[in-house]
Amino acid sequence: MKTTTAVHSEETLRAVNDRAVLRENNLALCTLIYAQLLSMSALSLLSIASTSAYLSALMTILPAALLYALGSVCAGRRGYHLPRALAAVFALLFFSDMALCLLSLTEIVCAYVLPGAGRSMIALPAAFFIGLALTGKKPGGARRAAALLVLFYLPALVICLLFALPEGNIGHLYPLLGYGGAQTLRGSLYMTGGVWSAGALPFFTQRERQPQLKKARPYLAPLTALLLMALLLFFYAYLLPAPLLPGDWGFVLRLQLIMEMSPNTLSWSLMLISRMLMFLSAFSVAGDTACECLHTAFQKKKAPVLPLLLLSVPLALLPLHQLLPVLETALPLRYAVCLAAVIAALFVRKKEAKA
Amino acid sequence: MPLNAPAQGALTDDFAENARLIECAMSIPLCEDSVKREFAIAGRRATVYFIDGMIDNERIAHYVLAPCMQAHFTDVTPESLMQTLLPVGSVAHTQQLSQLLSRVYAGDAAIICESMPGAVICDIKGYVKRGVTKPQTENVVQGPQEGFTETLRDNIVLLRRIMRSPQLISHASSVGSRIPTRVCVLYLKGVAREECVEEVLRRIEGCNVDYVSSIGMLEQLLEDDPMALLPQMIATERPDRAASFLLSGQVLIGLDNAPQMLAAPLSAAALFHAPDDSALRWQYGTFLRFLRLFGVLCALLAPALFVALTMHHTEGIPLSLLTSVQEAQSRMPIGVFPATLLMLIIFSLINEACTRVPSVMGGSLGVVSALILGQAAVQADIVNPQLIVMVALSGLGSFVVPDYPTTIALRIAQLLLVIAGGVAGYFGIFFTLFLMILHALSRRSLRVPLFAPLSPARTDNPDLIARYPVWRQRLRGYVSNPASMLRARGRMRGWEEER
Repeated sequence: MKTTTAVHSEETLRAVNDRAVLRENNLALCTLIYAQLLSMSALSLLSIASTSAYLSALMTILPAALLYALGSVCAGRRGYHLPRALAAVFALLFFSDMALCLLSLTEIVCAYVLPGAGRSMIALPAAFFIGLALTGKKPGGARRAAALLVLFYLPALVICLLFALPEGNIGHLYPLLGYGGAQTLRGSLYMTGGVWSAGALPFFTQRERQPQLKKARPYLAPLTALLLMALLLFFYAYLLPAPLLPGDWGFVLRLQLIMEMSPNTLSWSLMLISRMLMFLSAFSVAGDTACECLHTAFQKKKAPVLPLLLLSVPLALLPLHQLLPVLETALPLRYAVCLAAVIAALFVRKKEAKA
Repeated sequence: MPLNAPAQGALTDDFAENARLIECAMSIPLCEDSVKREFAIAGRRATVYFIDGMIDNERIAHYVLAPCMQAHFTDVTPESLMQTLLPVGSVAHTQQLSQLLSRVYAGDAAIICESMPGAVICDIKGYVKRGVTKPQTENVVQGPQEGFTETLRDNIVLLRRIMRSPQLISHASSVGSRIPTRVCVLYLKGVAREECVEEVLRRIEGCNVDYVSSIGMLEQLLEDDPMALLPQMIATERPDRAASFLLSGQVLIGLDNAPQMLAAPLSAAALFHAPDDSALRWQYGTFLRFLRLFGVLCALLAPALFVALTMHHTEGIPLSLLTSVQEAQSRMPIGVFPATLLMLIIFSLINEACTRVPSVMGGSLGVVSALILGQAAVQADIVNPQLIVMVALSGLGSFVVPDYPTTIALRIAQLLLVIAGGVAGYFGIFFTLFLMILHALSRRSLRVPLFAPLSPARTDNPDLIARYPVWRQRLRGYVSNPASMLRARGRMRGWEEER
């Protein structure tokens, strides 16, 4: 009997499994990127970002791809090990992500889900219980949860697209004409600030790779690029009705508007739930990855997750109107810091190689 | 020798000393069912020891006592007894008192004879045991109708009858320091991962308890995280399902006196698979699997979402439904949150009562309970009718899960989610759900991630959520040995190529 299907050898199966590891890490970190972009909308930074969501999203792909490529080169030459100095920088950046996700979660829940609840009643239990769930010998739980929950975000998005979007005004799809070039550029700057993780991505996806898996490598970059594009389009889709509002309107009011526009409350509930889950996933992934970075940076046996997560609680409790000016300055800077760190790592490596 | 102490010592060729040692260990004549029968082999004094009722009286008379009493040769050695005198299938020679006792108390007979070193043990078991009957908890519409029994040997035979292959390896040992119980580890050589087999054997050897009474107790001693809500091993009472676990590369653990076998490492998706899924055509199987998934979601979320929507997010309920809910609720003496908790607890109470009462009373109890839960409670304005619908839906949903421990885990999770929904609405429910997911995805079964190959996503037999067509299931489970992961070379429906 003739065999028409290729037979799986042990090496092939291992290679396929390792590619699955890469995919899982990519999905988790893309969840993080997406949550960062959503954070901007939750924190009313939309006055700059969302008004030009469509073009800004497109303009973000190029810098993200550039950073990802740089990170890949650096990680590849480093033999897949994260340099200690770079790990410390990434730890700080991931910590800022944690704080941002917790802040956004608190903001959404307090503003809409539980209007009467105090901010500390949301942020503290969230950090504490997630910290408890991640403590101990349970590697990968946060990333696996993020990769699994992607399945939930997709139907939520489809339902929102089906019910909420047709009621938006398509005529407002051209922010460049409506808001001008400067506003669009500022929007893209904010979004670029959110995709700094693309620089860190290769260091975590390539760590588990085996030497014989060179064939798996060409798939990594296109996969990541596709995921990034999909996530940015999600972001764009979520914010589609946003240009209907004046620039200084907050996230809650925008969502309220969508709710009033759409008689179908299912899409509204799903949107809220998917955002909460997205922030929770991103918070745990950022916490887990920050611990990993600390572990690499300080060569410790095991960096504690719980105290790190609890450290982000005070930041989430700060009054938003005081925090906003700082965030507006600091958030786009993260991309620059990450870019500088990756380039520095590349140069350090070159020097080491010469020596 | 003190009572209840494990017997130690060696048997020699001193007949009197051997007899004294054995009788002391078997508490003869104190213990009435420990039997000592004296006779002679070729003029030499001999004694056979056994436990009354554990042996077959006819077999001991015909195949042990009669040949021995009629023997004429002079050289009585263990070899001569085993080779020429005793027409019994399984005989053994031992000089260890502990071994002799464990065999005698398992239903064998031990013969000692003057000037013969040690003792000869004959397998003439004849104790009462339950026959092979239909499984009690894993019923199927299509497929075999026989289940495991309490006798480990019979269970292994049932498996061997299905898997007639020398690759099926059974590794016997015992667990329990004071009362040893036979435990058997079965695996398919070359298909199961060696490290998994070794890990199971290591864990069984490391169990330090006096007695293991049930397979559930053994499971708690062996599983990775006994504090987790979800089980990390799956128990089955069906030989055909146990065989499919073996073929997936899992290791089976059988225990004497237990009508189930444990399978590990476990993939959590298997907890939601019914035994006859693979017997049905893939379209039907897939439909049933999705129905089950819907049931699980209803069981987990329906009551919690009802509480959250009526207490915190009324804007999520359509206006007509909201009006009727609020109208009904205004007549109720207790709020939605305590009423839901109460109804769920009552539902679990009825379920537990129906499980425990004799089957003749079960039907009546069900009818009375349904009346209390349904019509009477609504007419008495204790709970509103929408709540009854939600509780019934979640109850039905929890029953579609084929694995009993998972059903209980589901009910606990359901209560936790209702509490979270009552306290913090959507946020409470989905935060608790997220924590449960985080916790479950971090668990392992024999060091293999519990939710693999779903998350982490791994190469595996695609028969996970949907029932994949049989001829497309080219790979075994993720837990199997990678070298033999491919189930068949070439097309499974090979005749299609020849056509």
